[in-house]
Amino acid sequence: MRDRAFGRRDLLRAAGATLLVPAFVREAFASSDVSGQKLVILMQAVGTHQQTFWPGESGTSPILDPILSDATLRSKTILVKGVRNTTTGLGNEHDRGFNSLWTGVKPVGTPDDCFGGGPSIDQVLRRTLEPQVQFPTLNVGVLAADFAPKNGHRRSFSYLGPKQQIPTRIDPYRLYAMLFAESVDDSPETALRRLALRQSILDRGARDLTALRSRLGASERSKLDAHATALREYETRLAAAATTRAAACGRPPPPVAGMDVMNEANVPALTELMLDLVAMALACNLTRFVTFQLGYCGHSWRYHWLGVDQDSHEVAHLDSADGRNAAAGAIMTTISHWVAENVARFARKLDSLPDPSGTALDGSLVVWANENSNGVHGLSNLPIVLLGRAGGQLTRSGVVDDGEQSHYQLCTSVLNLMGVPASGYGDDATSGPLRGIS
Amino acid sequence: MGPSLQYGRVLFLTLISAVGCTGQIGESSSQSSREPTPPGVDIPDPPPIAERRSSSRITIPPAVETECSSATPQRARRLSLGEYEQAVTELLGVGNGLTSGFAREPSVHGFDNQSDALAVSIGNFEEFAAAANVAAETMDVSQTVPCASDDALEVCAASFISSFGTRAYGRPLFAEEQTDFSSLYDQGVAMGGHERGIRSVIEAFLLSPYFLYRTEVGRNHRGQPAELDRNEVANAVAFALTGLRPDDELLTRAAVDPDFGTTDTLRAEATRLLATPAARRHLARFLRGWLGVPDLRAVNKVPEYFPRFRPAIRSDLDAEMTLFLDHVLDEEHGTLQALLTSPISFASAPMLSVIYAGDYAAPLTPPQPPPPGEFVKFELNPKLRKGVLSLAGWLAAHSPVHRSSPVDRGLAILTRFFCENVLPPPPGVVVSAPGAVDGVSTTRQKFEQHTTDPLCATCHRAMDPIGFGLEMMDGVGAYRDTEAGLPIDSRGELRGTDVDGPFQGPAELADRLVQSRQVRDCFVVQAFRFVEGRDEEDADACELSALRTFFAPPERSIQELFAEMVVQPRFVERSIKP
Repeated sequence: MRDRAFGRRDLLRAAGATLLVPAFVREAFASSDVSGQKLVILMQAVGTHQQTFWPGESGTSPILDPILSDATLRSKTILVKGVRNTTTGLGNEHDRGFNSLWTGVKPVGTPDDCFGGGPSIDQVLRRTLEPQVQFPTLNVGVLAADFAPKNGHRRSFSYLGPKQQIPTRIDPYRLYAMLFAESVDDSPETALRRLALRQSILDRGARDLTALRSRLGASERSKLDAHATALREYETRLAAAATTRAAACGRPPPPVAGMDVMNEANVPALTELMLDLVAMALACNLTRFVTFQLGYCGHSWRYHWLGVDQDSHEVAHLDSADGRNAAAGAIMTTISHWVAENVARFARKLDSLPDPSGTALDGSLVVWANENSNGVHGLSNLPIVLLGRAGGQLTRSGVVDDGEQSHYQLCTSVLNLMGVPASGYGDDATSGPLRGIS
Repeated sequence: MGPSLQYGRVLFLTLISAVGCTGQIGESSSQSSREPTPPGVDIPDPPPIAERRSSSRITIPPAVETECSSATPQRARRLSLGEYEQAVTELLGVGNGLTSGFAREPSVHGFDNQSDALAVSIGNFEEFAAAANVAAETMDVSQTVPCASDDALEVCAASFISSFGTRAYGRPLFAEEQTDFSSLYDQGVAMGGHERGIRSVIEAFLLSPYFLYRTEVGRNHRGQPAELDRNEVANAVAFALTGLRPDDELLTRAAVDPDFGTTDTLRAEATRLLATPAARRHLARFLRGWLGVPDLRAVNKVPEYFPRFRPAIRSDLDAEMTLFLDHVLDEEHGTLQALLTSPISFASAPMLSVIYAGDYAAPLTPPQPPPPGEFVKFELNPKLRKGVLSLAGWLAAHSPVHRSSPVDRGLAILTRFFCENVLPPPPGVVVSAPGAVDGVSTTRQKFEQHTTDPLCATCHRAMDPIGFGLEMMDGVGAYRDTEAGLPIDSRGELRGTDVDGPFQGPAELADRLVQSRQVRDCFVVQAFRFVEGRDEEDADACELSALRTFFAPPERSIQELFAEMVVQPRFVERSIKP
């Protein structure tokens, strides 16, 4: 079982129809738009330990050592101190720290079920830039939980609009199949006819949507608009593919089948696997804007592979803002250090893959953020790590310490670095970007 | 101190003006009991019924008992993933597991069918497209579309399009649609013959918004709510009661019965549908969502703390819940009382030995274990357990991986059973959790310490004592009389409810809940949310009040409550929103 390769039958089960898309279509998708900076937002949950996060005079820190002790990575890393999530409103600091950080607006719903109040930054970018790649945005993560959370809103921080949460893809087999599935070997002529038939099928749906939309009020219309956008995007990519042919992108080796994606014991393997797939997807130009969620918002992983074996959420709550509880601080340091190891590995992987800017890391911006700044729901001084050079726009490295800056500024900077001119974000249209990063 | 005052007010006075940023009122405010609105009072004057009729519209009789207007907007309500799978299975026999790999979707109040939360976005369009393709490519063409001879394939296909379309959309196709699908069939035939034509048609049906959504639009009347058309009514009724599109009988009735849409005709259809297995499964889905036990196979426990709780028991917990809910709905007339206090449950041999055996101290004798793979129907020890909240599954699901949780359990009772709106800690409060499981003190002692902080206590003094009362049941739902070598203190208390007072254990809690009018009223709100697929609003007060009155007699069943919701004239109305 352990070594069994991810065979065609597994793929069929996992991928279903995506297998039927002709090979050349996938190849074309893989290279139809090779320009443009890429973004990965990696969200950690339940805070970090402030006292061991920020580097001291040595230039490194107990948590960040896996990144900062690597001279190459260090030269492509910026740490931003003082970022504060100022959102108020529904939910607690886990909720707001999670979904408001990247929507820039207050949550909506009820205190029990407070969802993002607007589109998250990945979707804003998708809409603004309309990248012609197969998967303009990719929302993935490792969510293994001890029990499916009763809080549905904590499953994803990516939103299409108010309450319109985009589900997190958590299954590496399905993700692999979706990104890199084998294809049927059609002749070009058959493939074109197949494509035309698929377009007719999609067109039927589009006509129905238009008719249905015209009969509804504004709020329902926006829901159907999102549907129509998704359909058009899918169709456009099919059409573009028929006229563009390019070399196939390298396909990574398939993951091993049989892993339970809801079992916390598999978190280390799942994390590695999902991050590898994301790296390949970026390097192959299959996607532009990725959200990656390491666990549910406010999760309770036990990290037994690190020897923690306690409810990490409870441990975090023992970590006071001043860091006096040494035992809790040590555990939180261990946990965040493990995340740093994964981030470093991911960054090195990107740095090993070619890109017009040099390496995929040079062409990308990886933001490693956290819903809280510490274990007691802090929203000030969030641990923000910017890796990569965003297509050459970032040149400095080290710590930026220019007083308090808002999460609106963080988001504005992310937009700017992706090539979107913006002077603010979300509820603060005039925040300006982060000071001191460029 | 501002935050704490506000916090207390919300919890104890059950009065909230505006909790949500959306401007919706909180759960508790619509909970306040109001007298049923007498007919014709406080309701905007509707035009005379006769004026609202036309030959093509549903005939609505004068409202009988209450005349409430619907606040449900005209909308397109996407099928939940469960409904989608069922629909494909009904149509093609290949739906099972079709969405198992879909990314998970949000549930609200425990329900996965809430209209605002369900969309077809870039996040899942590809998955719907892939699923439609898989279903179309794997279904059996010759079985689904039996055609007599090769000569008449085109006629046969046209007839298939018509009948399949009717079932997929829950309404007959328009002529234009029939033509459209026929030309798609032709296009498929040109590429790969009859079979390719049929598969293309099926794929297109499954990707159509009229399949993915159920439309509730109806016709607008100047200054009046819209009225659903006959087919929309049939769909709304069928989904409310079975989670499925209308069956042939209901569709036929909608098409030919001149009285279709009246309370009497809808009551007859509701009665018929509620007797089907599909309705029982649907009601069980509602109950599971409400109870917070959608899938007990996902319950996880750390072996170190629960060495005898093997992962295989998880599916037994789930099966027990299914059997128990079926028993309540089928054998005990589906009353809330039976749900809360039924003395019967079902167990596998491993469940008996790991969870329930400890209930039967001598001279009581534990139930005889069934053969492997089977379940035994047994009587719960009535001193300890009664009803759904005493089942291992509920208790285990409302506990973390390593111990029991008075907070989780208490919170679930307060919010789901009493519809109390418990806000998270106010800003600025440093949240501290109880210490780790250490074998030195009991869970209760840790949590009691944890809530001595006056600010936390404001809320926790209502939540925790309910959970404390269930401490005799550990994190997997097994009875215990000691923890960490100390005696278990299972004295609990209900505070701020209409059935306040002390209790010990799930059985005494159940006896209390079953007497509570607040719990009955809250149950009505939960059913309303599930059926309407949305949060209640101020404008629903009339409807909710009428439903509470209807459901007040203890002998009323859950089935009757669901039927009552769909037979009221307002069920076929939709409010027109810009």
